[in-house]
Amino acid sequence: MSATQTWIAAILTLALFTYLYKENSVYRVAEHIMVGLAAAHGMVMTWDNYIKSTITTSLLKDGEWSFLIPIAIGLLIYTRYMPKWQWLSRIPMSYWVGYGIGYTLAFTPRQFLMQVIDSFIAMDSLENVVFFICLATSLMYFFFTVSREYPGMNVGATIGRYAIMVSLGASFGNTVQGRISLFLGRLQFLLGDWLHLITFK
Amino acid sequence: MNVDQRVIYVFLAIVIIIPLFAPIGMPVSVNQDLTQKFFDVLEKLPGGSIVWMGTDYSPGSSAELNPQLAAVFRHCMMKGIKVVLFSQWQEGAAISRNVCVDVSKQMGKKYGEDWVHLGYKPGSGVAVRAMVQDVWKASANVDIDGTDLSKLPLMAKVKALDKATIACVIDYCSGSPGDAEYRTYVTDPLGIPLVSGQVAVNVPGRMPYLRSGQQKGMISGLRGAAEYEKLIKNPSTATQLMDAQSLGHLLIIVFIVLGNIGYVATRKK
Repeated sequence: MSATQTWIAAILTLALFTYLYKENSVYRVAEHIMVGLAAAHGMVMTWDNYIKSTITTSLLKDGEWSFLIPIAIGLLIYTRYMPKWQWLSRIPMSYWVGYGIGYTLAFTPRQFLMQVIDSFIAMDSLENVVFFICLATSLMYFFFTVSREYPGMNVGATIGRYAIMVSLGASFGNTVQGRISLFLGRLQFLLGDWLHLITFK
Repeated sequence: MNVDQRVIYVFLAIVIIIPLFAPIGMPVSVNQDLTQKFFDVLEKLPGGSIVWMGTDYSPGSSAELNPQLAAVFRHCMMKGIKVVLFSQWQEGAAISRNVCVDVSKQMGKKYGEDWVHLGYKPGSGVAVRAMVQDVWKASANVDIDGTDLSKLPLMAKVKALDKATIACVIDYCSGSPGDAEYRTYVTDPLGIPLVSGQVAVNVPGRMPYLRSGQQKGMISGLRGAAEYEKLIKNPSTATQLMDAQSLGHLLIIVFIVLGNIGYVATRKK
């Protein structure tokens, strides 16, 4: 990064940190800049990395003119801006929904079924026993068609609730770790790249 | 009991900033179930193997994932493993390219022969699936800079994201799309080993996949990056930041204990 870029990034970082004190206009300006830049960056990257290269290479160079069919179908989405023709925008939408559902149904079950298969384990270690108890009782917690008044259901669901709380605690711990890491990343930039007070390897 | 949250922020900032200026040098132990297994997967690969790296994150996660990427990419270059990078996230392509260029320069490696970056391609799962069939066509025959793939010698060996070509898939993931797309369309169906670098918040949700063998190893956040730096004997940024991270955690634990004592004391009244 050039010195100017570093200064802009540092000022925007500090502007965003002002939110920690309280909501303010400086923070909002920085936030809006970030949202606008992210949208523009996304458009440029999509054009530059894919659309432009598809036109110049796949269409013009390799002559794969069949690409024009999905491109034409996709462009129909913009008929939404023309009241007379906006019904045409449903064609690409229905294609996406149908294709997406079919695609997901074809591939996604496998990874979950592998999880189910993995849950059939031998009770030959304490870890496996704990795993089985937590799995069974967590499922009992979300089993709403049998009343908790039946023998064992309430006990099972309560153990399941504790198992879920342990899991949520682990997630919270990792979230804290992650947030501190993000703050460290900004400090690395501010104290190292910007102010040159610390040299990072 | 009410404490202004800004007081907590100030304490946290002080505790995190001081060790950056005055490092304590707290030891870093390697997690045998996560980082060590990730390391072992790459360590067992012979030189010349090709690995696929997905860099699916944005600047918000780069503090955790950049050090991971740098350490693993360095490990690959040290072992002569070739790397093909690809991003399902727009910002992930530019960020990861900068990291890899730095490491590549330090190690005297050559772009196009030792590694290639295909850049960002839209479509997430569909794009990944297209890579399985034909990497060149799915990339519109160009890399991140628009260079024709035919001019990059490494890409002559990489026609498809399949088991015959790719020895291992590595994904740096901060959300969706990410490792799930690789698990669904590549590694589970084709039997290619998957390892991942995760932001810390993702880790509990990925543990079942480690247990079932759908992932062979995992690096967890900045801490995992420091562990990996230790494994490749190249302590770097993540190691330097570990004192601050550890003291930050310690302070949070103290606040949680104090908060609970306060809660119990208030309830008794």
